[in-house]
Amino acid sequence: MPLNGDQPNKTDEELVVLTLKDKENYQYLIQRYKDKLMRYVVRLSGAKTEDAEDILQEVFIKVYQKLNDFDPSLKFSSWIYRITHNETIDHLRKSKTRPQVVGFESNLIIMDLLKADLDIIKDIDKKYFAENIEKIISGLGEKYRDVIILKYKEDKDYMEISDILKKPPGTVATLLKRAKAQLKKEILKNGHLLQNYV
Amino acid sequence: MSDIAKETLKTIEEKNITPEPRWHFLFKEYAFRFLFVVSTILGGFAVTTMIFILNGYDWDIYKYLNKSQFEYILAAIPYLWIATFILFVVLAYYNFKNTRSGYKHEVLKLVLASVLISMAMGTIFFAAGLDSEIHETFSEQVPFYEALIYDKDDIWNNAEQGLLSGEVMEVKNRQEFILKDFGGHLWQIDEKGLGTTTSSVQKGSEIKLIGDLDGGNIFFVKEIRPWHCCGEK
Repeated sequence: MPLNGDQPNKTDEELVVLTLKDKENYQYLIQRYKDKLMRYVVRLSGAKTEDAEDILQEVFIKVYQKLNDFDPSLKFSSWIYRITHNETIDHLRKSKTRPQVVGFESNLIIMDLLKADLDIIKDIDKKYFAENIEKIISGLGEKYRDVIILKYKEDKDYMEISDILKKPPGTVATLLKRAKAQLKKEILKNGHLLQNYV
Repeated sequence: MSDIAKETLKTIEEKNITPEPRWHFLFKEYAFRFLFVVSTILGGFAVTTMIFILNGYDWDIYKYLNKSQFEYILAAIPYLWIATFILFVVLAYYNFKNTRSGYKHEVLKLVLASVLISMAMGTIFFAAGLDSEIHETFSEQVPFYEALIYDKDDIWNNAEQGLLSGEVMEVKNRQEFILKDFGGHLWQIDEKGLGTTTSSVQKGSEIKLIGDLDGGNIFFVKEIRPWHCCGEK
């Protein structure tokens, strides 16, 4: 579907208003978010591409239905991530599956981000980390996994995570602190401390 | 990845999906806000009734009832209203939490705010005299309500233990009157022990008496209190 006109330069909020007037404008919002949300769905659920696409289409339909509920005091991205998060979790619950371990395409980036927060990272075997961090993250409880994914994989700040998960910012900070402590514990439990690799 | 934008728009078109009207969401939002306000006000009613009950409790008569002070204090606690208050605090919390920005607030702060607002409202209602109205409305309208709170009638129907209550039927002279207790039994009341020269009661008034029974039908009163407390009708 070709993109034309000035729509690609519009803000998300402006596109919401335009979509409410003419649904054809919705494609610009979809184009803007489809890749990010696809990655998020996969990271959260470990779903295969086809299943993730189905979830994502449901998300975009739900977002369209709820456009009038969008609160401009929020970032549109936080709002659409919230709906994506809820739809994905609903999907997991309905299919009674646990989140699957997915590829580690971005694990080295995560490692860089975690480096600043977990002081053990410098001592960790990079290969081990890249291969196992997904497994460790998916083994964390749902609430810890959610904040770790949003913080380190989606690069969201506390306020955005608060808006996405509908939890108070203080609770997000606590969850993140506990999640990191658990992550550190799990890494140390399973870890290969090989200083030479770093 | 397939062209999800195209497919989504096609599905929207085929299924004739439209955005839900704004009023649906506004209605939901204002319904939660309204229910939060209502829950807080009802919590305030619970508080004011608790104040009313505790305020009207005769804290000093445990010694006549063969009860320890602790036992007597426990009996005074308005469990029903405490449970009602907790229920409305929880409802107020739930409704506020479900408003658009409710999630931004910590549970503890929300619950505390809800408790404090209800308590402040309860105090205002009490000061405005709504306490006895609520209590009486419940007494008249809600079955078993009186059985669930402490029973004033029962406590003050213990002539053998020195506690008696009822309606003044006849003032015989300066120091004697006839009382019909709430069970319909007639008592001759002797006021000599009060040390007054005129009777302190009027025909038709409802009173509580502390004194001693002579073993028969004569009750020697040492103290007279009005049956109704604190604006109660």
